[in-house]
Amino acid sequence: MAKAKEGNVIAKHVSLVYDPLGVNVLAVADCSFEIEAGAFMAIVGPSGCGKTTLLNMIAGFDTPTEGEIWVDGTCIASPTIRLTPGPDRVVVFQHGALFPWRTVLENVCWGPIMQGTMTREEAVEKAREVLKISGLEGCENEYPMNISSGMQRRVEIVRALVNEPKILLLDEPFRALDAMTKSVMHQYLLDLFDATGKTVMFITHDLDEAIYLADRVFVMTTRPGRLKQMIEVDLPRPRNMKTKVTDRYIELRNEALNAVHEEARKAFERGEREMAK
Amino acid sequence: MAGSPQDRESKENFIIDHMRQSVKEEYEKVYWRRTQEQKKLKKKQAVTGILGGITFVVVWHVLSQTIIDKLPSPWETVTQSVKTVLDPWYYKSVYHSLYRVIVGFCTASALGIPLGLMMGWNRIVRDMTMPGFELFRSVPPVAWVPLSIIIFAHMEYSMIFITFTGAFFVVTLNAKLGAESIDQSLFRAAWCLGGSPRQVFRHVLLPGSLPSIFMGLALGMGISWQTVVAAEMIAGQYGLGYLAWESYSLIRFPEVILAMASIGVLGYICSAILRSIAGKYLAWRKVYTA
Repeated sequence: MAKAKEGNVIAKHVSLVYDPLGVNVLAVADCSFEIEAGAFMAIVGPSGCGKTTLLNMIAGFDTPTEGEIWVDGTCIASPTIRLTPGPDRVVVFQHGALFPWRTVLENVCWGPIMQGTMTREEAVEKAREVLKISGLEGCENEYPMNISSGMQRRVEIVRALVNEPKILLLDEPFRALDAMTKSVMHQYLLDLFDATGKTVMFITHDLDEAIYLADRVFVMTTRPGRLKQMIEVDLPRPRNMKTKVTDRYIELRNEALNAVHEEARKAFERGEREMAK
Repeated sequence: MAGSPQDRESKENFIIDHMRQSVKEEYEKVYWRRTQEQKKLKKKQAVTGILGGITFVVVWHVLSQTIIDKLPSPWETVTQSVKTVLDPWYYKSVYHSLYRVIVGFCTASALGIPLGLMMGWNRIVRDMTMPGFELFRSVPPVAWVPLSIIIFAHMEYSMIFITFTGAFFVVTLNAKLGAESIDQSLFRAAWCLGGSPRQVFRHVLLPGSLPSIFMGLALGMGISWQTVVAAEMIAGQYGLGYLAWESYSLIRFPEVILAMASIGVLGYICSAILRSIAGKYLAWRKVYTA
């Protein structure tokens, strides 16, 4: 493609303090990272460490209390710039957020039609095309409740991609899926990533998933979430199930495991302490 | 020796087709059996229902002849009712009650649904209106009767106003509840996909609240009927509540029962219409299980 790649994300010393019930909680502390345009970055950390908060700041649901977020050379969010969510940074949510009162096809065309970037006919045509590529042909007129959870997740990713976002923000999208469906979804996502070349930010608590999918894994500490370790994953693409048994994969996994385990233990102990209070 | 690969393939295809066919037949058999069972069940239910009805009439008759001798017997009620139903005056009562309920209920819905949605959507609107609602919703609609008679010069308007208050609170509060019960991530997804506030209101808030809105409408319809009858008994002219009360005064007891039955039937029809509309809009909630 001749077009220069879009979707470079830089976070500069981002922190977020929120105060439920007047108690200030530092959710994310001084996180800095860069996701190059067209790169796949995974963020791993124990539950409650501020991974989702970090994603919410880029999506525009939360405003950082300190630091700046830059996308393609412009500062889009800082304590003084309130960012609003938009179709250039589409989120796929943890528990799924398809509109249950719309059919699969209507869900997928919703974005372009609402933005007015396409006419209804164009949007329907494009949606059909993308659904077909994703192997979702034949369920266009079903309501989301009537298709399997793996299919729902795929529809949701398709719904995001139809908008041609610069960045795809995935917030533990495969969390609720069973192991079999999950591995199928991993392959689907990898193929999709290789085909589209979108910048992807992927949040998970599963280290294997992160190393398998990403170019770079960002391990966060327990709350307040800081950068613990950055792991460059140099596994060649395209990847498939065989990648998981290569020596390099196991090496990377061992390297990361210690870091993640330590944080998970800390989080667990703190949880116990807080329960005891 | 096995034949050529093509031969083998066609043989396999034949076997697969055969298996498919038998599976299909088996499935159809099961399906047929199941529908038959369902039909039987329906029949059984109908028979039980009719038996229940007969028991009711018998008990009524026995009671009217023995313990409660003032109670008109079923036969008496039916013969007298036929006479009354053929009288145009009866339809005037039906018309008046129906008119009051429909006008009151529709006004309540037209005002209550948007207000309730706004209350669920916007914190300022909610904080402004909620204390008032908390206060007034526990006031029984009948308690509005004296005030409404004072306010409205025309008795008809005060009657409509009372049915309105009956439906208004429950419709509004259910719409609000519906708006609040929508998963936050649906709103977030809509913002992400570039929806404007108006679009999010129309395409997320409204359809997401519909199940709860229809629940509120069904409740509101019931309360409207209750209040209209009470209001007519206290202050009415014409209407089924008035008919019941007047028949009592004139010692025409079968007509009292007729008026009650008419209210029941009309209320049921109104609810059924509402349910069919709801079914149309809430088709997405049906989950098909194979």
